[in-house]
Amino acid sequence: MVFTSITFLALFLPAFLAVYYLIPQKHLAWRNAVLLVFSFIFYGWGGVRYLGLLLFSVTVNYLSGLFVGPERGLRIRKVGLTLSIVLNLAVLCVFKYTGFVSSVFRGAGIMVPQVSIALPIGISFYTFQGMSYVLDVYRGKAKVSRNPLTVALYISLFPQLVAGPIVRYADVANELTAREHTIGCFASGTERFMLGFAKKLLLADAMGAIADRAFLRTGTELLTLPLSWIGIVAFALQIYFDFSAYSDMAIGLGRMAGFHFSENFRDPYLSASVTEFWRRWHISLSTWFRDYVYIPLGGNRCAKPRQAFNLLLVWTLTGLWHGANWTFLAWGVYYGVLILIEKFVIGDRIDKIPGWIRHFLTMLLVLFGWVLFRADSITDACVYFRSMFGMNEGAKWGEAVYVLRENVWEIFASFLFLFPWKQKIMQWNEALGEGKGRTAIQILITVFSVAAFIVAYGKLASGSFSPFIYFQF
Amino acid sequence: MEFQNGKAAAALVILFAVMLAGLMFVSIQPAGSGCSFFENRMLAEFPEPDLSGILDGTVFDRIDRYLSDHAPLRETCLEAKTLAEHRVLRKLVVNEVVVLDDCLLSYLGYGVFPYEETESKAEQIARNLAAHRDTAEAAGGHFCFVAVPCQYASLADRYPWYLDNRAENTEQVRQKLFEALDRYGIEYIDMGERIEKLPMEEQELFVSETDNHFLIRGAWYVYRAMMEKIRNEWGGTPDLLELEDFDLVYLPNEFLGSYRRKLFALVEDDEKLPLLIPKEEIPFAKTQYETEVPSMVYAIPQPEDYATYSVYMGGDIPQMTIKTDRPDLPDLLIYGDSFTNAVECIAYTGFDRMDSLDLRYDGKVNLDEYIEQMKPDYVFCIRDYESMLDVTSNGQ
Repeated sequence: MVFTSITFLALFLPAFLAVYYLIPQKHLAWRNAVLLVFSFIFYGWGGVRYLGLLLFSVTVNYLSGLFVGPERGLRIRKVGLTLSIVLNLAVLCVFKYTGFVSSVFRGAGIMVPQVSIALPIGISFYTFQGMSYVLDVYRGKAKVSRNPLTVALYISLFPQLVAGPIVRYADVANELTAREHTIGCFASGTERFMLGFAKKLLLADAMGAIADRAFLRTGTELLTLPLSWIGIVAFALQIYFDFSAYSDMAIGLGRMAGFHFSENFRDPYLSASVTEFWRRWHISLSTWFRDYVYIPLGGNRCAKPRQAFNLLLVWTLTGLWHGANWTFLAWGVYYGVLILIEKFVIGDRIDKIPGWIRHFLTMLLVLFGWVLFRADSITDACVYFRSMFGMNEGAKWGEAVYVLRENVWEIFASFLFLFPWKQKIMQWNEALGEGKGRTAIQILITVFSVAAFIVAYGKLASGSFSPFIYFQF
Repeated sequence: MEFQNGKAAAALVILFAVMLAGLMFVSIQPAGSGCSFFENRMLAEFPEPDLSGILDGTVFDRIDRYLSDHAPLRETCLEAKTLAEHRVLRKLVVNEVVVLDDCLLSYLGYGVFPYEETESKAEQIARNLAAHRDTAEAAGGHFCFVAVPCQYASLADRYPWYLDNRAENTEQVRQKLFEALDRYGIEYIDMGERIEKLPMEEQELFVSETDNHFLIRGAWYVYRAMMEKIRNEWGGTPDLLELEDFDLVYLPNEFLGSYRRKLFALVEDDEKLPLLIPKEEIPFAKTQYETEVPSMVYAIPQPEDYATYSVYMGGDIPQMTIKTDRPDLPDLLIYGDSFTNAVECIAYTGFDRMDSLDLRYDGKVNLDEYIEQMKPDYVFCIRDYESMLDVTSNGQ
């Protein structure tokens, strides 16, 4: 199930909120039970058989948590931690990487069976989330939960189950067992959800249509220089709006249930360096790898060659986490190399470069990275790069003209909403202080959110439009 | 953003709750009509649950599709989106229709059509046609293929320069198919070539401004070409009517061409559906699969309803026979896609018996067996440029 579907909006969400809020606030355990049941329904909607995997993950992490608590001996704790990591990663690797590995072996001439396993939705997210619980308990950052339902709820919480943000157990442990439900919190969650909903349907999908069109032309004479640049810029916008919209909706839904999740994006396209970009993009993932992989390996506190190795390893894993394909691996290594260069080659001299040049170059590098990310294969990525540099044979620019003409408003709106409005509004709020000015801004934002939501619903409801010249039975 | 004002927060929460409740209430009501008139299709039905579908999620996918097809205010939203794109955002292409001042055209996308693929399909079509030709001749009849330009081929020069009008591909298809037909010795009529020789004002009558088919005037030219073929080259004696033998009547109903239909009739157009009605009535009996049906060639709609291309012969019918009880006249078999419908409205006037087949809709009829059984004097296959390399259904 996805948030931007009629099923979620017209059935799941109203049913959940109705049942959840029918239970008095003092019975938080019952509210949690409702949240858990609905989370299982949410996940099982993609196939009840996949629920088994989720339950397995919950079981492994709950039991592991019991063994890694500080009251246990060190040996038991290490065994528990190792088992948890091995089992979690084994499940992830089997479902996500077996097919890729088998195709690598076959490509190298080693005749193994070609394996193809359907990838359960959200497995990367909830696996990392489950591991986060065990790791936080092991490191003493969170207390063991003896209640399996609490662990189950943490791992399978539907707002962030399938697309993040990856919520650290330590960040929500208190709220799992004691949280406030206020109208203000619910309202701010509603507003955030509505804005995310509109962002996804009105901006992300529009840019996605342009990007898909360009990438479909890969390998044909139709992928011209202008179309390839339009396509990759559109993809950059699509992936940002898509991903950040899901985070907005997840954060908003979390607030409706009294949870406060951390931000996952902070205007990444304002970055003036690749390092800065990754402090602003998918923050929950980059900090997960930093805290659970990079720092335990030594982080910045070891010799430079070791640091470099750690960084490359982390970025390789980051790439692979995104998908089982050479393109994702290449994308991860690409960023690893760039960050290494910024850290060890350019260093502090980066501040001497004018800001606008740094920003421009950073965006260029990010765009090149997105080509690797979006392409179906390394070969396709190379073909796409060739088109971007005018080395394709295509000379018909008509489609590029058509795309720009037909999407001028969507493109304008997309760039408009790249502006850091949230920061700006917070500055205005500070400047205005308490009073009518602030209220006016609030009302404006709320009216805008509702209007955007309604327009986005219109887009959703009309999304199943499928006309035929000849009658279809 | 954190809400400082409690009243504003409460108002938003109530509004949101009301919206969700409204959506839920409407969604759980049993669906009304299962048909979308403007989309020309049946809407998804609520699926029957089955265990494997529940386990792998396909049942829930179908529920999602059902809910999407029956979303609250769906048609209103579709119309609003169409209006917004056409009148506010001023898009050129709306709902896959190119909206121009003087016509509506099909948006054709941008494609690459491999030469080899065109050639092999043309070869296959010609081979299939040759088999039917042989069957017709063995049964004592004649066979001819009629290629008709579809709307986008006829109005290719109306597309803006940056849109693909498939002119190159259309030319490639024509060339390859006619070469293949020549190789197999199949007689054919290229209506595109004939239309190009007409005066411009007559050329513009050939196709509709808002529908992918031609209307009755276009069908008239095809009928004339067929009759010339029969009378001048095959020595046949069907009853030939001239244009003066018909009354040209325009239905007063609002005409809903196929492209205007995709736009929910929200784009204004004054095109009307023309009919050619013989001044002297020719009585006939009409059957479908040997069951008698009302004797009409035009399915006249109610005054308040739209007129569509389906007025011609009542739409696409898999098998239909018209008998005029004039045994001195020859028999005709026409088969093909929808473009045959308008032609049949005129052609029946010249024959004792006219059979019509459209092999897209069911597998009940085998064309060769039908020809062997009915032994028509003349067999015409009518296909338009867009579909004449389609080797399925009427291309088999």
